[in-house]
Amino acid sequence: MNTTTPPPLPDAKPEPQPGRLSVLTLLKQPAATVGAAVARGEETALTVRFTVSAVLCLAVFGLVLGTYASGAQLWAVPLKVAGGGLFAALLCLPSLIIFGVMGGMDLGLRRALLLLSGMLALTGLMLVGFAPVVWLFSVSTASDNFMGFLAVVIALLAFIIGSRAQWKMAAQLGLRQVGGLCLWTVMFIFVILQLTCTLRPLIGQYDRLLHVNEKRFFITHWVDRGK
Amino acid sequence: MRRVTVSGQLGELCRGRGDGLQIFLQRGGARWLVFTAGAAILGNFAYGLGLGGARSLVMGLMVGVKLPLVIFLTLAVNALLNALLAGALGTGLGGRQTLRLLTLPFGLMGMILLGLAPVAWFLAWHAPAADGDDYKIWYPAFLLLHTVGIALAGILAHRQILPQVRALAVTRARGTLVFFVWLAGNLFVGAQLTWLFRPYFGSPGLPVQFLRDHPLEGNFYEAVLHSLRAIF
Repeated sequence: MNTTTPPPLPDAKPEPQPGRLSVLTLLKQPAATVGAAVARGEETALTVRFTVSAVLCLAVFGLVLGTYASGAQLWAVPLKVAGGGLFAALLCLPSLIIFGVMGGMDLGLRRALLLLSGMLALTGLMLVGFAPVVWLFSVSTASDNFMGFLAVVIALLAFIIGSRAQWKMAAQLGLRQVGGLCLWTVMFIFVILQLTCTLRPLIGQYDRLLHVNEKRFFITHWVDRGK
Repeated sequence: MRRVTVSGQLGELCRGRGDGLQIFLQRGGARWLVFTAGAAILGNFAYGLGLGGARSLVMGLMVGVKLPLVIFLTLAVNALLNALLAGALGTGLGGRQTLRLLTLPFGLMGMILLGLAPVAWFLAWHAPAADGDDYKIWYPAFLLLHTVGIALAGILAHRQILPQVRALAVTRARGTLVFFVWLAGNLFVGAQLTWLFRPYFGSPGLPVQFLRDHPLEGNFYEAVLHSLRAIF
């Protein structure tokens, strides 16, 4: 009987090494991107690249959000969205380092900044992807509440994708226990939600840049807006 | 001889492993004890400043002093019981070893709270005026948020010593058992001590003071139930 030997199974496909590291390589291969950055010693350069991308993308999303009210909101909202994103990241940086190290990661300030800027850049990129949808509604609806709701939902969706990449990058850097990072992610969302109140008005007419003297909890603010 | 840096020690503490940590757990060492106590004081002070700072700076400073006190009193109140339980459950851990093991999570909890302190300050900055209507909604939410945050920080910090307890105990199962008994005891006592040292940012209408006029009235668990009812 003529038996034929089946061809050997191919080896598991190794994750390709990305070429020039950028937000796009992060989008497709988060773990390989951060791994390559560490291996090539490009952590700082990549952090700068991610931060610049994040600021630009967040500003573009802010600009589109600002078209809803137009006028002064066209410059105020991009400024607040980009600044708010960076502020939230810096606020949560110390806890990211502590939780990361607790989770088994080899994490210092430089790598923590890489993780944060990568997450923020990817979130920003996703927000730019959502921008046409936001623009479509901004020119067709007159409801502040609907626009606010839409912006928060879209921001959360974009953050989930950015956060997913951050988890993959963290796994590449040795994360074994995920409890701390879970808590950190929830806390970051909470900070972002509070910032939607702190940086008001993001939706609706511009009256002043910030309501610094009117301190409010975001739930109270949302409930009042919904009335 | 290898130079021990603060950041290296912090890394060992956070990971719950490392040469220095092993030597401390086996034979003791003043340096580690000072380091964990210092971490507990610093972290709890920084977080307490944010917690009480929601009401006023004076309140923030008071809470910055009270939180480390609560931590050390929890350790002290449970010290004898925890050592006895370790013996009764047949772990083979002695009294000193138990005490050394249990100082670690309190130090690590301090580091976690130090990391969370900027967020606590950020939230405190948003506190509405204590005599306004918004404060009545904000207060229970803020109370619950910090209660959950501090409890999770405590649980995560304790979780880091679980491998060490298992390794040092006679069997892995007994190590696991005694760990959960210690954790439950520390959470239970810690929560009630926290209650006794109230106020932390002050119920609406009540003055800023270091301790309430009748600090021993009521308990922590009733207060949480009350807050939940106020929100929902």
